[in-house]
Amino acid sequence: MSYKAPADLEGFKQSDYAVLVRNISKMFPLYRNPMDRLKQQVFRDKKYYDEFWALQNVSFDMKRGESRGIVGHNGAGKSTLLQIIAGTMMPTSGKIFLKGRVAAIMTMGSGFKPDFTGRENVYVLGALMNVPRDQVSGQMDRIQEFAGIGIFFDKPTRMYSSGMLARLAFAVYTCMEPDILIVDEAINVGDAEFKRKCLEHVSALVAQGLSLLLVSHSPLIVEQFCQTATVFERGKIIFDGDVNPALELYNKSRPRSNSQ
Amino acid sequence: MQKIKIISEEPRLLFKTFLNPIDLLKGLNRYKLLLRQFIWWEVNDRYRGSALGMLWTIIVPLMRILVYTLVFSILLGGRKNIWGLDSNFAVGKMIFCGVVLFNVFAESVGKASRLMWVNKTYVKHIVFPLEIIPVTVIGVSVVQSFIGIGVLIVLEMFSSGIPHWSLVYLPLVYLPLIFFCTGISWILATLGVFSRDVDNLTQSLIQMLFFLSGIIFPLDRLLHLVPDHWNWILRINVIASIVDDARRIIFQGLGPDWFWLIFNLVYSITLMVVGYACFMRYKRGFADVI
Repeated sequence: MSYKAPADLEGFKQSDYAVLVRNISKMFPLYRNPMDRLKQQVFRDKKYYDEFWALQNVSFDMKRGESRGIVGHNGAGKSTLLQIIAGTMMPTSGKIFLKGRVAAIMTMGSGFKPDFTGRENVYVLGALMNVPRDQVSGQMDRIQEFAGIGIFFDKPTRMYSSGMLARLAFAVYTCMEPDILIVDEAINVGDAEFKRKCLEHVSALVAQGLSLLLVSHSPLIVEQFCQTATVFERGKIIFDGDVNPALELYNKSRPRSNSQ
Repeated sequence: MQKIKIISEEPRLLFKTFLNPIDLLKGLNRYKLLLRQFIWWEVNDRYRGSALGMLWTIIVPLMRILVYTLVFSILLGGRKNIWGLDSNFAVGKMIFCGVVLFNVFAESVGKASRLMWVNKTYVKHIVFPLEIIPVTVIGVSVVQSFIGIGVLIVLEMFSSGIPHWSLVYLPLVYLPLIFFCTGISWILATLGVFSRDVDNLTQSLIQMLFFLSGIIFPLDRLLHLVPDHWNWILRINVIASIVDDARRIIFQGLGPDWFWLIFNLVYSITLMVVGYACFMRYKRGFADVI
């Protein structure tokens, strides 16, 4: 595969690319028992584990305002890749360049404090994203309106249904105006009406220059949100391009066998 | 121009790169806002939903002082021969003072080894400065202990009039306690990620330390048991010295034991710097394990 995006940092700054992923690989050491892990720390020149390569040599580019779907069966390495881009996990080798603020909606309700009201939790998430408090306050009305959960906005989040949690999280993350938004299966939770609202809102953000990375098992959602898609199989990219051929290929491909 | 972030493969992290007190201060200073908010939220969280709310912070200490008075002084009769005090109530207050300070240690260190597992989402799903999580726990228990000590000082004023001038030393006594707990928490939080056995070990060690810190009897009783030149073994347990100092300051109007205070300060700061280096060296690997 060839890449048009500039390889050097100065060129990347000037270009209209937002994400460059270059030769990312991730190996997880699999230890047979915890003692082996300890031994490995002490005796560094021996090897006490089996290697499991969750990602192998993954590369792609994303422009500003591009929305890209990531599809693949369970265990194909999608979530690992997103965790690496979000910064919660380090790659074993390779490089990623990111331009602007990254927001990641990974698991529903992560970061929420159950005894706090929705409104207070907006501040919690804001603090987690390092957004100043007054900026969060400024966005509060928009978030409340977008979440659309009525009186529950001022009730503790432990009373929320999973759909309501998803709505609130999605509202917060998209209203904080990130430059790169990573969504892992989050949109699936809401009802049809909420999905439509998300679609409208995200499309508007994408038009303003947001880059969207969306992981989903539902071809329908990927088709609605994304122009391009990347298909993963066993930690490798097997297709990278327009969304329709990508989804066709995804439907044909087989999941990683259980015997492996 | 927008900020560029580069993620690349793990550089070979060395323990000694983080062994730097200035680094530690910078690191904590960067997140002081987040830290303050988290501590405030946690403190609020404890009393949320209860009818009496923050009033519990005062009721609980009062009830405990009564229990200690009843058990350790009236039932066990330790007033004269152990404490050498005149009133039963004074014994209750002495013990309460020890328990409050010990609890700062027991609460924070007791939670430390499970901390990264409990806060899984912070480790795995969002980018978060994990090193402040143990500090938050300590902050919360310190705030709680302030309230307990506050109640104690007010009670002391009821029985002996104006408070002692020596109370100005009280913040100084807290410093080694905070540094000591932070250092140990960072080390245990790191070990706890890789081994589940650490938790069981710490729980029993904490119980042992409770009796070695002179909480339910004066530290002197313990010091008399060992030859003078072995006293340092009891003293490197920062809690023991601190509880003793706090009692001198609050009840007797004396200053702290300066030699051991300064010794503990130096020693606990060293421990904290080592703990920070340990945590920072291994934290990149947490998400792989949890």
